[in-house]
Amino acid sequence: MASKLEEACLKDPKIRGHIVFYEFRSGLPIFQCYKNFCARMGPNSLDFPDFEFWWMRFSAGNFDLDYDRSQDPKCRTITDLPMHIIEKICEKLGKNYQKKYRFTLRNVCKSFRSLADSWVPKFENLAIEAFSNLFTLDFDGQYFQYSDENKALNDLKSVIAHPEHKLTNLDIGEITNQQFLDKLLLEMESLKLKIHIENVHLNSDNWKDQMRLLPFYQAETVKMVYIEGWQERNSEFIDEICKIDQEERAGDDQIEKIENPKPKSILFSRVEISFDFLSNKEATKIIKNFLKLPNLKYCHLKAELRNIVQLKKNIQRLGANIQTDRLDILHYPIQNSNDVFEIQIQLDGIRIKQKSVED
Amino acid sequence: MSSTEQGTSSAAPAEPTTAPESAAAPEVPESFYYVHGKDKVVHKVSAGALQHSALIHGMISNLGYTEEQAKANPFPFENIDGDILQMVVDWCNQHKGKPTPPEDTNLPKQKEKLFDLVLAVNYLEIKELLTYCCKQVAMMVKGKSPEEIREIWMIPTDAEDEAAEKEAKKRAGKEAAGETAAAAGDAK
Repeated sequence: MASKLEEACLKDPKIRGHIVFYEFRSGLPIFQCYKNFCARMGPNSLDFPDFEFWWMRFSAGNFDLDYDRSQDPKCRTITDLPMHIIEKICEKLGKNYQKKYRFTLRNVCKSFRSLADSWVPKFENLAIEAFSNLFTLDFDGQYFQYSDENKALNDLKSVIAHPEHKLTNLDIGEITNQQFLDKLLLEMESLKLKIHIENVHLNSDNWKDQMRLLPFYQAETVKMVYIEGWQERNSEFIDEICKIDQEERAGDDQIEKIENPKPKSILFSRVEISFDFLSNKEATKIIKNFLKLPNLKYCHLKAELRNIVQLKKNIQRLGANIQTDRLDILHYPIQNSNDVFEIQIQLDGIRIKQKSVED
Repeated sequence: MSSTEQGTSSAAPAEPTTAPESAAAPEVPESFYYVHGKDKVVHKVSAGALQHSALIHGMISNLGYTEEQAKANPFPFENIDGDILQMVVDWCNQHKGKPTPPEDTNLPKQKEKLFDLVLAVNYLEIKELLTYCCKQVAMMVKGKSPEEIREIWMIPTDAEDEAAEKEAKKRAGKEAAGETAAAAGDAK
């Protein structure tokens, strides 16, 4: 064990240098010198980097034992710069640097991640796709592809969880990787996320996955829900939407209203559905379903219709009346309300609008 | 203090530009001030050149030094390395009374020096030079991937950073324990 004198010697950097010099003069390799030094002065008496520093100086022919290590030139890196300077440097990366470099910078290091995350995301459009080993995030036409699921989730979360972020369009594309969706939902739930979205784009191909995301949309910000896909799947999807609405209203007492003042169905108050083709039977069924939704303000079924005379008859059978001044328009009275649904049937589709009778 | 005056040499390039002006206009003696960095080497710089630095300009306006007082009291910038201060002084002299160009290609190419220069320029509040420096730092990584940026800007990965943090904490704990033990020994 090192004596008190030895300990005191080691505290003095100059004496430390002298002792290392003594070992250096032995001509042995550095590790052997360090071993001998530790044996003489006690283990852990001097860190190897300290020993190495002096040893390397001597081996380079520099025998200045008066050198004060506190004067070592400090190797600065960018992280030594104040944050406002780093922000200024980022500004010089060009116009729209916050959009272009957001994800690049947030994957550099912790401090850059904090900086990039502090920028209010200005992305208007987001499309998400998740395949087994490939995840694509499309922010305003900028494609970001990931093979690492966690990186993709992290970048996605950093944008959608930003309290000031406002999305105009959200498009949930193909999601074959259920694990990705499960993780995303879990994260959203833990963060109690409510995303500000104006236009929701749903594809009936994977409507079951998309339905799981609906509770995380801020219903009151949704201006329009666009639904696309095959007729059969669309019908199934619309049935499901209407079922949710019915379920919600069935148990819709006062307490529930306070706890959940914005029911999911409000999401579907303005809907545009595109069909490749729509049969009269299907069209009647869809209209019948939508007429049950008191929250529905506007619905546009875009489809090429063949026999609109028959379709009008079908709608009339549901309780709607053809307007005498406009033969393409029918009115359907809304239960417990003075308002009506105005149903306009034309060859290019059907429009349903909620209207006050006085209008 | 080793007051090796380098001012005459660094201020010299500015003289030819001022000479014809002084011939035409009534002669106004230019005042000079003195600055030194960590290395204590004193630089003589004209008030015109120092105008680039909002910090020094503010100091000059507030102090109202005479020529003798300025010489006797050089502005100390202990936080700026001598070579960096030299670079700043040279830049101020070169751009004295001139409109600053949109780009400056004479900045150091060495990363560490550039970061030091950024810090010094930020401290001295030289707006235009800071803009050039920031642009140069930004151009290093334009279009690069996170991995490349880490390499270019010498930034450790999160894992390396965490390991270094742990190591530093461990070392600090060890040192603190050693000091308390030593203090206890001294008390005995």
